Amino acid sequence: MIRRTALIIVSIFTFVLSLQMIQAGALPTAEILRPSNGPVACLGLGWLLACLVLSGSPVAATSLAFLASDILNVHESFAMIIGSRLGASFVVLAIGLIYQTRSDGQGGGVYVGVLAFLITATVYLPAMALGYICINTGWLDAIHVPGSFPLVSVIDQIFSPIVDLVIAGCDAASLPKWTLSVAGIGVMVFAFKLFDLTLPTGDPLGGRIGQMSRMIFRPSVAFLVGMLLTCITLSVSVSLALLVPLTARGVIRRENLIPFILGANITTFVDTLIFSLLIDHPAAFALVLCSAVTVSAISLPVVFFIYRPYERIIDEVAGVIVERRWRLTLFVLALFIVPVLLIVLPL
Amino acid sequence: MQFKILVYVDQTTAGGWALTLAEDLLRGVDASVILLSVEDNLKKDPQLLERVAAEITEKTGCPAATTTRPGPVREAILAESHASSPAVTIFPPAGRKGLARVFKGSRVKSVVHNSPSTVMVARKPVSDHIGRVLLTVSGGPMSETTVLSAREVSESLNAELTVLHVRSSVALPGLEREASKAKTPAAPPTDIAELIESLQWGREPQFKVRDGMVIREILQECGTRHYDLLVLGQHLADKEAGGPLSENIAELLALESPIPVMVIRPRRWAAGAKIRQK
Repeated sequence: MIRRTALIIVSIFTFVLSLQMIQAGALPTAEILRPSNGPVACLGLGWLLACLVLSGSPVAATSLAFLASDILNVHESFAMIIGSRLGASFVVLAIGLIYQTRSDGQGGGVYVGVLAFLITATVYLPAMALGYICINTGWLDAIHVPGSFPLVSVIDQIFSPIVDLVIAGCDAASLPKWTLSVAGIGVMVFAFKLFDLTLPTGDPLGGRIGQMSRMIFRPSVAFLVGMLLTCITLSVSVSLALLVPLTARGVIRRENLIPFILGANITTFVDTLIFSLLIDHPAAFALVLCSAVTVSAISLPVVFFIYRPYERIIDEVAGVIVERRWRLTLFVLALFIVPVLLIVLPL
Repeated sequence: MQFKILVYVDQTTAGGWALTLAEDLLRGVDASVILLSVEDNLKKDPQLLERVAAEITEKTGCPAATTTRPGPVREAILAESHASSPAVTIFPPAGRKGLARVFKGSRVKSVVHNSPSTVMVARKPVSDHIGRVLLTVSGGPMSETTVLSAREVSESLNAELTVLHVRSSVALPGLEREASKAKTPAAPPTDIAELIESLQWGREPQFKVRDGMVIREILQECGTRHYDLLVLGQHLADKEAGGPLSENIAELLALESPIPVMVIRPRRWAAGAKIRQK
């Protein structure tokens, strides 16, 4: 218990430090990121960064840090958050690919990874369009979190001397300022890894999750389990990974998987929502809330009204992709090439 | 115990399918028939039940009783099913789709869910007689009852039986090696194979395994060969089976199947039935 509490404190400290470092190196980074201005480019940037750091949450938090530093506007920050979730779904696929290589071509994990990406893409991209409507109509302006700013000033008082020391060290080593942002992202990834160590490893639903390997649950039930488990673990990839020890023999019924991921994709914003309170920007919290609400607005009708056709289409497409090795290779390549094109092409 | 078949009768085309299937079942078993209709049907055609009863007795030689209940149809079927304890209840779907189903509910879902007996949903018959039966088994607690019932149906009708098991489990990333060692995702549950092998078969069943989502694979299999009847076990919503949180696959298949479906209740459909000596 003491170890876990200490780990939580250290991980939060490290996380806030990483945010301060990213913000300190933000302006020089803006010069480098200049070509990637615009929401489409930021979508690609969030996607690519999440693929590279194998996690979406640090990238989403980074986009908020850039928002606070005025490097990104609200539209661009929102696009980067959406992109971070697209890239985060690559994590599941990456793990699946590694194990496929090690386990003589058993393709179940790859199927799960492809499914995770397809579900995320089919929900998040329409949610992005919906989010822009919310932003453009000024709905976000109605949401204010006045309590966040005293917290921000306390954080500044604690962390400013530390960040000043880091900047001084950077200057002494003749390193360019943008390296602070890069180092900040690295520290943030480390903070998330530390935080992962504090997560529960048992079945928080008292054995219900274990039944997902045997039972086919109602889509709404698997959806709620996905939401709840990800709310506890704060990460889609972690909650999926947590299913491994919890379900018998590490298998899950296909029917449970799609609504589980749909639910997980909503509550995966919980950590970013909490971190937005640490950001000195009035729109940060509203922006993350908008992401969660728009993703819910797309996911809920899918689960409750058009689930069967949605399930059929997603399963068929995933099946076609994993059926042939060359298709899977193309798919994985596209996961990297598409975000690069989004960044590079003047869209 | 007297083996009884309850058949809901009306003037619709689907009502005709129910009679055709009932006559087909009666070819193979000694049973009595209870013909049920609702008052609204008899207002349009007062001689409906008597005429159908005479036809059935003439064609099959089985005695047919008649009874009438007030509507709605689903409540009439369920009330009679509880009152007369038939082994099988045969009824046609109401034919509602889309919004009509949302607002008025589904007769199939309601009867399959609430009936105390095994039920047969009378979709359009594929052939003149039931010659090919598709049995689906999950390996769950209902599998043994379902296999035994399907054997009796197929043997009484001299039909070809195919046993289908759908593997819908998929290994999660990170534990595929362990999953591949386990029997569940790699092979059909041994107990299904053992059960089938342990039974005496007049005609050996064919065993098939498919990978994918359960409902879709079963419906696809229905389309690959001209099966005349789909047999499956009713979902047991007990604690062991996930309780009310679990999906009722039997109801969904009864709703979506293009061919006649027989949903087996834990009380075996053919308890007390005697296969006709040919």
